Amino acid sequence: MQSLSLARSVDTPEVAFDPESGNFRLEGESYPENALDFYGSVFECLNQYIERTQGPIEAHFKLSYFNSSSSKCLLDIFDIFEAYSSVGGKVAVHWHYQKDDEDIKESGEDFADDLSLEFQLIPFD
Amino acid sequence: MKPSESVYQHELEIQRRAEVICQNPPEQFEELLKEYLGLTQHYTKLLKNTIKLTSVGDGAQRKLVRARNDLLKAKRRLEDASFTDALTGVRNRRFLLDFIDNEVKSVLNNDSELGDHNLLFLMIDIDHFKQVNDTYGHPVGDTVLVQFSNLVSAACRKSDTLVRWGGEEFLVVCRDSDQAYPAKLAERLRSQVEQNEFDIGEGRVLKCSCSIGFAGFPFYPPFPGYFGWSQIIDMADQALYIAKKSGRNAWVGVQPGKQVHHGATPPTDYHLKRLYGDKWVQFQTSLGDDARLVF
Repeated sequence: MQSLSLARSVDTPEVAFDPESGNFRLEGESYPENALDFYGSVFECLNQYIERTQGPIEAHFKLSYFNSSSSKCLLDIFDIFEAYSSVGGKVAVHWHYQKDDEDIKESGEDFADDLSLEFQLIPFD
Repeated sequence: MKPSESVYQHELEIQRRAEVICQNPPEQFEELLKEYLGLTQHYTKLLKNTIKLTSVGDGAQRKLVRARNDLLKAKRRLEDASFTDALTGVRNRRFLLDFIDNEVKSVLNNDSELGDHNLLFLMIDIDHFKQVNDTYGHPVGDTVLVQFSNLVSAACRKSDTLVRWGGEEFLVVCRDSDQAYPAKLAERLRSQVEQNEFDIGEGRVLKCSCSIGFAGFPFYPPFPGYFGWSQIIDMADQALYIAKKSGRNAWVGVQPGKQVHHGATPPTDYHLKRLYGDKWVQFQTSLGDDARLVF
């Protein structure tokens, strides 16, 4: 299985997934005009991974801004993780937020709410 | 399909499936119940997601609004700084250039029967300021400028605008002043500066005086657009230099002369000595008498 690597652009974040280690990273700002166009390949890659392996996933989200469509896509990513976790897959989510960015912290809390996943909020300077 | 719809592809499919079930409901109750429970689960999840997304969206909006407000505040601070003289904290020449056109327009548009709509330009210069700098150094000169501008500011009305015109020269712009105000303000400034002891540190004080020239806009009320504001400022400046030549520590105001009442059109030239000679202007001065003025 190939790894995924999407470079950061003005309105899309950097996304990387390494199927060897199960390390997933999504970092930057996300407000593409067509969120599905951008996140489609991310869903595909993650779905392939959980179908083919039983390896762990360690996901890091480090976002400073995202629009509503991107939020929906993030929910869908968490859905994939949750589905994997429900069949015994090991998933850990790390939600990074800048120390004084209460809004990003709160959005992490919103996403974590009612989610049966290990979900950590991690401040950075 | 709109991009915002496409991220709901899965949910739209479920909705279409629900419609099909409604059109052709299974006959068996157990099967119907199973479909019903399945759809209810989807609905519950959709509702939870909607609540989450609303909350996340509100957060993003708050963040954007806060960022916009911070930018607006920064913009206002920058604007304010660009209109402020760094040393004295009073307005600078750029501020005058920015606001004067609107002030002039509002004077010209106003019905004079409603009251005195005018602008008074009062130019003030500290006498022998170069000597202060040469004798005590520029830091002391700066201290004097700050104290001087504070004194002038305190002597003016709140609605008056004090501008550092350059060097030791200041301009006061007064809106809608009555006839007596220019001379009253000029004399108040002259005497307060004369009496003031400027604190130049280490227990030392300095005495100063100032010279003042003033003129009002519109200069000839029957010809309101006749002299533009910059020409009126120039007239006030010329009057200031007449006050200087006439001995300093004095003020000179320029007013329309008797000639204006004879129906002739005023000249476009605004050189004070010539206008005075042809009786287009007259002076009001702290020296008491025109005859004491030196041109």
